Amino acid sequence: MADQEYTSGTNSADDDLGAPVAQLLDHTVPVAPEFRARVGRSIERRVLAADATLFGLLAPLETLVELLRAIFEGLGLIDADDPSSAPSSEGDTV
Amino acid sequence: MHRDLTDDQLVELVVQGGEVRDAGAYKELVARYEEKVMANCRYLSGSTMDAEDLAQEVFVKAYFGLKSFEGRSQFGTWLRRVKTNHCLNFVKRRKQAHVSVDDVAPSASDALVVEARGDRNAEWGDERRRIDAALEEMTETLRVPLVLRDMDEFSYQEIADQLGVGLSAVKMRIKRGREEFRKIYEDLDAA
Repeated sequence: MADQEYTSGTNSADDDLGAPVAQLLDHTVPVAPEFRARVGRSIERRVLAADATLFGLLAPLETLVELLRAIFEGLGLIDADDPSSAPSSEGDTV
Repeated sequence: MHRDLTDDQLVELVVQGGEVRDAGAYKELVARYEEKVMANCRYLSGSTMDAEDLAQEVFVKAYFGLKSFEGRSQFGTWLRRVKTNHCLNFVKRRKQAHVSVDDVAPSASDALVVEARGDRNAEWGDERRRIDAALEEMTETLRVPLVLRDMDEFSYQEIADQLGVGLSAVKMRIKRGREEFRKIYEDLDAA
């Protein structure tokens, strides 16, 4: 069609395409008065959902870790006073 | 206090130490850009009813995306891209979900759109109303590239990439879009 006349265009070559519509550059649409509050509430809901999800994932893991720690402490495999001590892999007797 | 700060300073407050924090600073950013974002959402989607939801989603997306905003461009420029991508994705999904014409009652949906437009336009001046009316009368094919070029100042190549069409097609649509907008705008003035 008229493809060839447009192939060498740059951003400044608006002449062939008509002048830009100046009224559009600063045109805005008013928002409802409560718009900003709605944005804030959406953000808060998402943060809360993310925190709840993280808690839901971490809580069982932490419970399991504590349960294992209690078992190993009960068997004397780790020192109850040293939280960083790991279960022995060499089969040391109590 | 936040009103005296630049966009970059506000972004700095919002994103501190990699976490998104100061909500007050973000509210100020929203206040600065909400009307512009709303305009884009309205005219890119072609839907007054969806525009406010889309604008809200844009700001929520931008809030959580600020962690990855590296400041290589200005916040307004970055927000413009977030907004455009979000709206164009919405339009794409809407086209994919398009139902058969027989399932939709065009007169009923048109009536809803006209009613919403009337309520919103009651708050505007004449000039804004005419611009709004002119844009809403245009087809999506011509309106979207026109808005991306003359409202958002994207380059022709960026528009072509966003719309997935060739450069010459974009330029032709913009040319025709400008002609159509001016014709409709002048007709509204004469009316």
